[in-house]
Amino acid sequence: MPLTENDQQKQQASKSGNGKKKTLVALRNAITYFTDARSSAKYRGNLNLHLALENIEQSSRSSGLTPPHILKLVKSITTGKWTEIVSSRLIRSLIPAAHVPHNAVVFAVSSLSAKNISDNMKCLFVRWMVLIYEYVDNKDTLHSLYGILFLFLDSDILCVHICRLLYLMTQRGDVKQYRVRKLLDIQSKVGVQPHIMALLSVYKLYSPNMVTVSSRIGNQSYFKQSDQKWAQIIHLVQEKNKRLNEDEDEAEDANEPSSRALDVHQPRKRRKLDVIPVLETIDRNERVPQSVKSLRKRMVPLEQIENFKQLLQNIDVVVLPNRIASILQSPHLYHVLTLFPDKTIAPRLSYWIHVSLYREIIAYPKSGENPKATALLQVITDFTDHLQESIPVCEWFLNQYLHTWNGLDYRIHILNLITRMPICSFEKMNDLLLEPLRKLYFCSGVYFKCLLLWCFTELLRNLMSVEVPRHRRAVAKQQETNIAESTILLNDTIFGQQTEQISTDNTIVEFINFVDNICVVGLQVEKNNALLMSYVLDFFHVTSGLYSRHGFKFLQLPSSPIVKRALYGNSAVFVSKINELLCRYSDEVNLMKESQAEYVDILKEKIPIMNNYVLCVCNALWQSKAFKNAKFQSTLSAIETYLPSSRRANASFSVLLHPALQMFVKKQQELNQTHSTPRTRELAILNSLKSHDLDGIYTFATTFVGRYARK
Amino acid sequence: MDVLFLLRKVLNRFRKADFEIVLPEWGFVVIGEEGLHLDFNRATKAVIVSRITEYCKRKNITLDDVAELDLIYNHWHQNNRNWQVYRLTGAEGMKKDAPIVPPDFEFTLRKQLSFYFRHDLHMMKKEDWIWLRICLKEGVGSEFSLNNVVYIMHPSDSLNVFTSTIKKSYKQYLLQALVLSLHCTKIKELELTGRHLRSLADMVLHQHSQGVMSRYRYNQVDESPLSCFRKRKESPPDISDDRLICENTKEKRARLSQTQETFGQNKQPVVQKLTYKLVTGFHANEYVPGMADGDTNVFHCTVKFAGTSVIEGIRQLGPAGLAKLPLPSHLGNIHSLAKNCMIISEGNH
Amino acid sequence: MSKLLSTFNKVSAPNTATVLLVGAEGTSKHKLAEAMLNIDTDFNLNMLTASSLPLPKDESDSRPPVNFVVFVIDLSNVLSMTIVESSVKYLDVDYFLGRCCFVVMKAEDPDNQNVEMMAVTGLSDVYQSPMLCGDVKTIRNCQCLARKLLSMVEIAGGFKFGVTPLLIDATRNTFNFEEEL
Repeated sequence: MPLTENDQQKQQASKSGNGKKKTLVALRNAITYFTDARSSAKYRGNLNLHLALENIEQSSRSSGLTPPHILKLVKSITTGKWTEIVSSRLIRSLIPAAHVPHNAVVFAVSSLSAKNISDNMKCLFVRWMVLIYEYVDNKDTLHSLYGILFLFLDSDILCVHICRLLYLMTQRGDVKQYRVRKLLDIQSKVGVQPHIMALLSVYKLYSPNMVTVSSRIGNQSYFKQSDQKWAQIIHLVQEKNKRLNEDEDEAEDANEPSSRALDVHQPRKRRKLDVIPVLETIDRNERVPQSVKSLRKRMVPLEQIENFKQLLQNIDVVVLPNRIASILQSPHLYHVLTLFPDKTIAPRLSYWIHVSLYREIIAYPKSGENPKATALLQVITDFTDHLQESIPVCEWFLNQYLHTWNGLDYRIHILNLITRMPICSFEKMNDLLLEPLRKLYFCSGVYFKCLLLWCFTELLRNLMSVEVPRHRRAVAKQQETNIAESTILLNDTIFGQQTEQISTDNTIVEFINFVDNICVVGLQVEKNNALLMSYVLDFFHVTSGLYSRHGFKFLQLPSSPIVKRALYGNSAVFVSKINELLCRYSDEVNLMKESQAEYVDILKEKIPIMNNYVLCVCNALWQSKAFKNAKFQSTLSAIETYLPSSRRANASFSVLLHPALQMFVKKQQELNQTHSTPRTRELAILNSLKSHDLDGIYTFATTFVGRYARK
Repeated sequence: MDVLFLLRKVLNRFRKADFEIVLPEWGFVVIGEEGLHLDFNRATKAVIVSRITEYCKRKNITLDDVAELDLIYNHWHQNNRNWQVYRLTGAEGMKKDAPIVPPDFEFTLRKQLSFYFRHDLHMMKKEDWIWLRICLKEGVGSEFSLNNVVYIMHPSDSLNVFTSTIKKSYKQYLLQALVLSLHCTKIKELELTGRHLRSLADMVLHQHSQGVMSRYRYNQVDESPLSCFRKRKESPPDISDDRLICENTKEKRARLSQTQETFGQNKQPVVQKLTYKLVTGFHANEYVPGMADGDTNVFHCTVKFAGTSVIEGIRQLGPAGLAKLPLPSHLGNIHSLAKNCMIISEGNH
Repeated sequence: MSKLLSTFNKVSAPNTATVLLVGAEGTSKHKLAEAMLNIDTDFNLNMLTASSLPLPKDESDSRPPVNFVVFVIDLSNVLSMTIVESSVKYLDVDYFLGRCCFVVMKAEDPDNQNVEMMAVTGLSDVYQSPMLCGDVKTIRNCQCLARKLLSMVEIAGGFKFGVTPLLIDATRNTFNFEEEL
């Protein structure tokens, strides 16, 4: 609520007695000099003018001018009566005590098209408006002049400052196609200028669908710091007055416009610290007349909603915020996004994510991690989790970033993002995603290898359960509508992704082969590391459900080095796990056999391998013929003849002698001395293993070994 | 705007640590007298400044005293300004060989200046260097501001003058007055500017003993054969581990010695900027065939090197392996040119 | 002919690997070399640094055979790229079977780059040798890079049982997928 002149005077006068009163009277006289039409405008030797000027300068610098004074002075300046020196000094001393009346700004804007005012003065006026923009009491009035101000972009002198003013004023509704075109026109005339880029970037932020020009993204400041001294004085005066007001009357302070000015400050400060912008809706600063308000009543800006229930009730009338990215603040707001039919949301959000990822990670000047980037990546992963779809710009980002990634920065977040990649042709996947990761895999330690395998496992799971079904649906739909196109639009996504015609099966098969390969070599490099082995088996655990769980029409078996390393290793867990895995695969084969004849080819190819594995396990664990099929029989027999203790080499991997199971065997033997036959001992060990949650061996025995087969 | 305002301004420019030495040198303030007790270790700079100001107020300080303090400040922090170098010529036939007598010089200069300006002149002599502070008065109260003050330094037995930035409109008259009072006929502006006054003086006064020659000046040549302190040979650079072998040590040493041949072993004078202005036709016609016919037109081109110490930087280029050695003469000889702005034009290579 | 650097013209000392770092001056070769030497390894490590190839003539014949060559490229320094481009030619073919790699510094700062990243990837593709990005500005990153190089050296030097650089290379798929990044 603006204070009237009298109020202000009374306040000040009562506070500091006569001295203040005198200066106030002097100030009023000085201002009357400028408002009086009869006063002389002569500059040289005009003592009254000089005195009045100095008076105004001094008092404005010390305590600022009240709104009516500002209005009077602006009116006086816009008459064009005063010489340039006088006007410029006057404009420079238009320092608001608390806020600037909007009428004054309107007068100033109207002067921009006046003939009797020099260009320099117009320029100075615009600079003044930039500085005091935060303190204007009713920004709507000023904002309604947006279109008029935009016209002044044509003036070469004013262009820079007008751009800056518009940069501050622009709201989402202001972004219009014809304005963008105008800006591009200007740019083609004068070349790429930072101020025009600034304005375009704001436009692009609000609606990236309209601005197709790619602005060079980066951490740049568009405007030179000009008028710093002036801004500082204004700020000081404001601070001082605010302190005075606080002391004086706190109750009144709530309605004080100066506190509104502070409001504007805060988000800017927070914006520097947070990655996610603050929620702001267009209506925020509007003081809409009551009649208009009732018309719009049905729309509810997001910041008025306090809890989830309200959100649900109002979800159809919610107004989207100015900066769409502010939705990412809270998981509840994600729903707004998914339910909103507006097509511009996706490009707006994509653009923001693109810019932020680029600014915070790729172009981050310091080495090491940027805390903002960590937060950003976290938000993006949460968001993709909610959507159950990847964001195309994230793909783009990963493709670029993985190329130069050192495998260390933001490790968990990057891997998390990778697990949410969409399906694409294997050629593309290999070159853009797998190849850089493979390089890192082989020159990093075992821990990273495990992490990467975990990441691949999750990626496979996501591809199988989310991405491939989505792709299938899209293909089916396209076949329905009979559109023969090379690209497929995934229409049940927010970001409306397009993919090329690909064979998803091929991608999955090749991907599993790829992981298989790096697992084999990785295990060799890491000398059968237990942790790595565990992740390898986890991966194939997921792979084993391809047909039964996800309806893929093929079978991918782990290659034999993996099976054998697990089987002949010295960890009971892996022996059990590989047994279990083979059982799962055999179930899978049986299911396929039952269903139809269409899998004959696959089965013909895979069943011998499968049988070979089963035989291998049977021979080793149950038949005491571990090396029966090995190619080095002669060596083996030679060893057996010379070293009598190694005679039972063939039996050394049987259940009773397997090094990995020794712990359980020994324990069992201590407990039950009475069980003497090998068969009963084996049974006892099986039960003991089962009780230790290592039931893979038990399941295998009951499935494949005749004597234990379930009846 | 009064004397005390100016005094505070000047005092505030000093660093806190300076006061202990500067105040006795100034002589106006006597610590301990009339209740002026300053604890330089504990008091903040603001307190010290306000105490001194109060004291000076009581002692009715004059503008002259403040000006002297300002001159002392500029002598102390001479590197805070940009200096321009001039050379006097036409001293033949004059009595230049006679040393300058400061009071006489001051008197003539005052007289010469008074033809053109209302002014305040202060002079100070420090180790053969004459320091001048000329405050040109224009308008009311201008003697209390530091905007119209020109500082001039003149090594008393040389033909060079160093000035701080002078307003263009005053320049001609000021230099004229200076020339006449130094008994010369002409003054030439050298293309040498910079902040480090000592280096500028070094470059101008010892123009022909820079680079390798500098060791004669610094008396680093004739080591006494009887001296028992032998210089330890420099160890090969920064390789600590014997498992780390550098294959290019020979090459590196060669580069180092080559650099020493051109620049010598001493620190190079400090200059902040090095500018080459080319006022020649366009020569790279093989790259831009379209320009071939515009042969006659001058193609302006400026190359600037800027940094904290450019000449030292150029010296480092060689050992760092960033430049081909030997350096071309316009770079390798830079220390002996007494110039940091070169204009290269057609015809006078 | 003799200028060509070759692995097999000399027998290396047992359990010893020699790594040669090639890069222009100012590419922090020494910092990287020291970081590599400071990491404990199962084998003896020797480091050589050179600003370009061919190496100066080995007068005393004391130079050990080089097992692994690392080319250091600083993307803000054009000279470092040209030096590497000319030096690669003096390497025996054997090195390109997994005994050589390119280290790219300052890859994360696109505003200060004077060398195109594409040029470096092209180089690494042509010579079929891996490219690592990293920097030595912080200890963490420096060690990370050094570890990676060491694990490659370990395999290339034959200190990993049953693993050769070619085996690692066998896991690679090549499609020459063309799409601008």
